[in-house]
Amino acid sequence: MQQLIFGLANGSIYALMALAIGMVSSTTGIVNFAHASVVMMGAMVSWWMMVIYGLSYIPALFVAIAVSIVLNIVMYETCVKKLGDLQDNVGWIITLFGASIILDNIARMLFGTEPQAFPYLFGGKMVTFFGANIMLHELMMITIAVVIGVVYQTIIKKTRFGRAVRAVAFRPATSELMGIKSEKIILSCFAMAGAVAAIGGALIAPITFASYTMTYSIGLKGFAAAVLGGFGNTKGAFIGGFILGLIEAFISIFVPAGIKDSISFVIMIIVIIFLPEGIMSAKFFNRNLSAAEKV
Amino acid sequence: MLKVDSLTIAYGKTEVVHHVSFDVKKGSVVTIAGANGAGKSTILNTIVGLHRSKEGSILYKGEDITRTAPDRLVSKGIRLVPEGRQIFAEHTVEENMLLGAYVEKDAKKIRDRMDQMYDRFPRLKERRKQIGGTLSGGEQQMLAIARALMTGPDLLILDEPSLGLAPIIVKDVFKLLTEIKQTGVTILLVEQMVDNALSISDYAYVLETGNIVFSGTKDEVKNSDDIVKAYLGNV
Amino acid sequence: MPSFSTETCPLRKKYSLWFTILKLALLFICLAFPFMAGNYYLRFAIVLFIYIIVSIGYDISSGYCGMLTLSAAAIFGAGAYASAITVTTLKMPFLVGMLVAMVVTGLISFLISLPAYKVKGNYLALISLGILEIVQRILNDWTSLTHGAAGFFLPPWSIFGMNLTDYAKYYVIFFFLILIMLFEWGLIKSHWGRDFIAVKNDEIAASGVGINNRKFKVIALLISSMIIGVAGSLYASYSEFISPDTFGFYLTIFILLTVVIGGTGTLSGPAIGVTIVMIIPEFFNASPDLKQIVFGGLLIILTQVMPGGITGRIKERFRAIDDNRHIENLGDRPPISFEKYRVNADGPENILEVKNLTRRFGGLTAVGNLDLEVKRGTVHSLIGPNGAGKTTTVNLITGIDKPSEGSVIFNGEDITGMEPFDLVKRGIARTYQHVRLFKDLRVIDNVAMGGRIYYTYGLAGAIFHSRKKRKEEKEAYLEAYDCLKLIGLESKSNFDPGSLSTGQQKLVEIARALCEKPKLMVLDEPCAGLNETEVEELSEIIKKIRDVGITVLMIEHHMSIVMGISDYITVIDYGKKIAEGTTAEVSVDPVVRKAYLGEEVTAC
Repeated sequence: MQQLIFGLANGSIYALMALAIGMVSSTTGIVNFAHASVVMMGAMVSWWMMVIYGLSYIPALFVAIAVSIVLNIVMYETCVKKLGDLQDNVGWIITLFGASIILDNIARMLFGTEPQAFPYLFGGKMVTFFGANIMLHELMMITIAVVIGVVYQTIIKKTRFGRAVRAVAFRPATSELMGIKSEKIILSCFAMAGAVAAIGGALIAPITFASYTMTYSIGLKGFAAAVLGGFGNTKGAFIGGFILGLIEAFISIFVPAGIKDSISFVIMIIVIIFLPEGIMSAKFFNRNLSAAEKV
Repeated sequence: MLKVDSLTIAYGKTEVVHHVSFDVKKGSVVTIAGANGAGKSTILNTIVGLHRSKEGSILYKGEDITRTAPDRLVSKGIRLVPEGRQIFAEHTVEENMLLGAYVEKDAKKIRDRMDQMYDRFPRLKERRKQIGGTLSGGEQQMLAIARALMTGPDLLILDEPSLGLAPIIVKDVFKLLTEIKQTGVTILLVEQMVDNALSISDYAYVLETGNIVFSGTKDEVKNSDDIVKAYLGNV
Repeated sequence: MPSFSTETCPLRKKYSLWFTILKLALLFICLAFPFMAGNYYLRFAIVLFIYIIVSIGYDISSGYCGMLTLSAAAIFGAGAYASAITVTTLKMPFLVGMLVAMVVTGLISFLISLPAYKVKGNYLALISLGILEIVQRILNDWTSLTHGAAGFFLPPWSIFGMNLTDYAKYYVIFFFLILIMLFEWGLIKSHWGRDFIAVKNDEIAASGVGINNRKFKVIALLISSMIIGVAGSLYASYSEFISPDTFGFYLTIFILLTVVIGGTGTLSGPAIGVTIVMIIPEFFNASPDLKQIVFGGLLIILTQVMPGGITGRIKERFRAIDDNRHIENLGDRPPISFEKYRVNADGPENILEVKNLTRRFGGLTAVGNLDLEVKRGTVHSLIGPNGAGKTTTVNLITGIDKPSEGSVIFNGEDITGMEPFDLVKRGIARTYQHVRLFKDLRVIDNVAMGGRIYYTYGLAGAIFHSRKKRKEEKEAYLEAYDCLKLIGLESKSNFDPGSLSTGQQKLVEIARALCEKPKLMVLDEPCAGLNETEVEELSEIIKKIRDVGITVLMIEHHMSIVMGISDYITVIDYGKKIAEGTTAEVSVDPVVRKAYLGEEVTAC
C-alpha cells in the first residue's frame, strides 16, 4: 500500500511534467527540454518566498507560478519563435538546452549549492490508511495532479480556447483563416505549462529538497512519461506519468536504487524503438505527413 | 468591393504572380480561371493575409488591406474557403462551426447563425456530433462553406470548391453558391472546372503563369480561344 | 589534392598560398609548443587536442549527417572506462585498450542508431539523453567494474613498455589528432562525406540518387562514436584518473557548443570551436556558474544568429569576395552532346508496365486499378486535374510510396515495392515537383551526386586517397561539368543551389538525373515555376533526352509543352484512367475536355 501511494505520488509529478511538456508539443511539435529547469525554478522561488519573505505556502506558490509563466514566455520569445519551421530544423533542441543551463546556473548563483529543506503541506502530518503510514502531503500531490489534469482536459474539450488549441495543433494555417492567432495560442500554452511547472516544483520539493539539481533525474522521467503517452497527446502523457510512477515503485522492491533510476530511461528507449507509432497520438501523426504526401 | 492593383507575389526569389490587377464588384460572382500552377491559390492566400505580397495593393471597401493580419480580415467580413476544404478532422461538426465563428464573441449571434446554417444544411445538423474526418467529401465541402459563413461575411472567397468531388456533388456545390449569392454575398472563385464556374459568374479573369491574359463577361470568356489555350495549350 | 575539374573549394584556389602558410605555421607552433610553454599550458594543449578529436567525431554524425544526439559525453566516458579497465584490470597494453574502447563505443552507437532511421529530431535527442543517464548510472553503480563515484586510477601511461614523459604524451596525442584529422579529411572529401550531407539535407532525394539512408546513418554514428572512443582512451591514459562526474550532461553541452560555435559540417570547425570554448572559461575561473550561463547564452544566440558557426561565416565571407566566378580552367574538353547518355533498346517494347495499381490512404482511394504502359524511347505524359492522383502514381512507380495492390514491371522485372535506391541502379531516375536539391552542396556536387552509383572505391580508398578514388572523383566531376554544360549552366558550378532561380534549379535536377545514366526518366511537373522562355528551353532538352533513347514519363500541367513534345498521353481523374492515346487522339477526346473544363459531353 505504501508503495502504491508512493508510486502514485511520484507518478503525479511525472504526470504534471508530461502534461506540461505535452501542452507545448501539441501546438508546436517541439519537446521543451528546458521544462525541468522551470520546475526547479518554481520550487526555488516558492522556497525563497517562504524562507526569506516569510510568506505562507499558498501565496508563495502564486509568486512562483507568476515567475514560471514569465520564464516560459521569455523562453518562447527568445528560443523558439524566431527559428522558423520547427518541424524542419533541430535548432530548438540546442536553444532550449541553452535555456536550461542558464536557468540551472542562475538558480545556483542566487540560491547557492546547498539543498534546502522545504516545508510539507499540512506540516508533514501522517495518516494511517489500510495499515500503512502515509503522509498527507503525498495524498495532496496525487489530488492536485488529478485535479489539474481533469481541469485541463475539460478546458481543452469544452471551451472556446480549448477548441482553438486543438485547431492550432491540427492545422495552424487554417486556424488563421478562422481568425485564430496561432502565435497567441502557442504563447498561452507555454504560459500554462509554466504554471503547471511551478505547482509541480512546489509539490516535489519537500521530497527531493530544494536545490538547483533537484530536477536532474525527475526531469528526464517527465520526458519518459511523455514518450509513454505520446507527444502532443496531453491525456496520454498524463496517464503515462502515473504508469511510470507505479512501475518504478514496484520495481524498486526488487532492485537496488541505482538501477531503479535507469528503469524509466530503459522503458523510454524501448518504447521509442519498438512502438513509436503505438504511442504517437493521431495529432502528432498528422503533423508529420507520410513521405509520399510531402514530395 | 475588392480592388487588387498590380499585385506581385514571390516565394523566396521566384516571382509567381506578376502585376496582376482585377476587381470584384459588390454582389457579383467573379471567377479567376487558369491551369494548375498559374498562381491562383497564391493570389487568394495573399488577399486573406496568409502570404505577403511583394508589390501592389489590395483595397477592400476602399480601405487598404495589403498588410492586414488574417484575423482582422475575418472581422472585416472576408472569408476564404481553402483548397481541399481543410476542415478540422478531429473536431466535431459543431465544433468546426464554432471555430468558424471564433472572432464572434456574442453567444446569441453565434447560436442564431448556427441555426441558420443548420436550416440550410440539414445534413450537417444530422451529423453535428460526428467527427469532421468521418464526413464524405461533399459533406466536408458543405461544412467548410458553412464554417466560413458563420461570421456572415460580405466577401466569400472559394479556392477550387469542386476539387476531388464527384460531378454530381459539384453540381450541388454550385447550386449552393448561387443561393449564397442571392443573399447578397459577393463571391470570388478560383476554379478548374471553368464551365461550372462560368455558369454562375458575372465576370471572369483568365490567369496564365502569373499574368492575366484575358478578362470579360462569362460569355466573352466562354467563347474566347484564350480559355481553351490556357488549359489545353495550342491545339 | 586530387585535381577535380572545378576546385572543391573555390576560395582555397585563390588563397591557396595563404592557406598553406597558415597550415604550416599552425603545425610548426604545435610541434614547438612544448618547448615554449609551461606545464599548465602544456596540459591545456593536451586536453584541447583530446576535445578536438571528440568534437571531430561528434561533428561527423551531428554536423554532416544531421543527427543531433546528446550522448557524446556518455560515449566519451564509455571509451575512457573501457580502455581504463582493459589497461588496468586486464593488464593489457594501451593500444589494445584503445581497440576495446572503439568496440564498446561502436556497440553503443548501434543502440542509438537502432531507431535512428525512422525517428527524427526530438526522439533521437531523447534516446541519446536516456543513454547518457544510463551510462552515468552504470559508471556510478557498477562499482566492482568501475570503482563507482570514487573514480578509477590508472597506472602511468606506457606504450610498448616505455613510460611516457609529459612531452611524449603531448606528441603522442598530437599524433593521434593529426591521424584523426587526416582520416576525417579523406572521408569528407570523398563521396561518403557528400552522402552524409545529402542524407541530412533531403532523405527522399538522397534515396533518389541511390543512398540507403538507414545504412548511412548507422555508419555515420558508428564512425563518430569510434572516434570519440579513441579520444576517451587517450583521455583515460593521459589523466591516469577518471571519475563518472567528468562524463555528465555538462560535457555533452560543452561538446555541442564546440560544434555550434565552430560550425557544423566543416573540417576546421571543431578545432576552432574547441579552442574558443576552452578559452572562454579562462575568464571565469572565479565563477563556474557564470561560465555555464555564458555557454547557455551562446547556444541560444549563436543557433539563431550564426547557424553556420564561425567557419560558416568565413565561408560566406570568402564566397562574397570570390563571387563564385572562379572555376578552374578545364583546358580543351571534347565537345559534349547528349549522345553520351544514349541507351540501347534491348528488352521488352514496353519499358514500364503498371498493372492494377491501387493506393488507398485511409478510406480514400488516391489511385484505383490503374493500368499504364510506357513504350520504350517515347515521351509519355500523365495529365489530369488537380488531385487526380498523378503524383501518387509516380511515387508508387519510383518506390517512394508502396502500392496497396497491383504491380509495377520495369524492363521485364517486377519492381513493385522496391526502395528508390534500388531502382536507381536499375535505371529509373526522377525529378521532383518541389525542387529537391541538396542545399549544402554546390551545384556541381549536386549533379555529381547523380553519378554516385558508379563509384567503386571503398572507405579505405576514400581515407587513403587511393589512385582509384582520385581517378573516379576526377571523372565524376568532369562528367558533372559536361552535364551542366548540356543544360547551359556550367557557369553556375560553384554556386549554392539556393541562389539559382526555380527554373535553373529544375534544370540542375534534370542534369542530376541524367548523370544517373537512366533508361527511364520520370519528371514531376518540370515546368512548374518556369517562365515562357525557360519552358521552351526545357522542352528542347526533353526532346534531346528522348532522342538518345531515354524514355521520359512526365507529369505536367503546362499544356503547350505536353502537346508539343509528348508521343503518348494518359489522362487520369479520380485516380482512374479516363483516356489514353497519341497526342492527336487525346487532344480531341471529349472526355478530356470534360475532365479539365467541366464541359458537358456533347459529341457522343
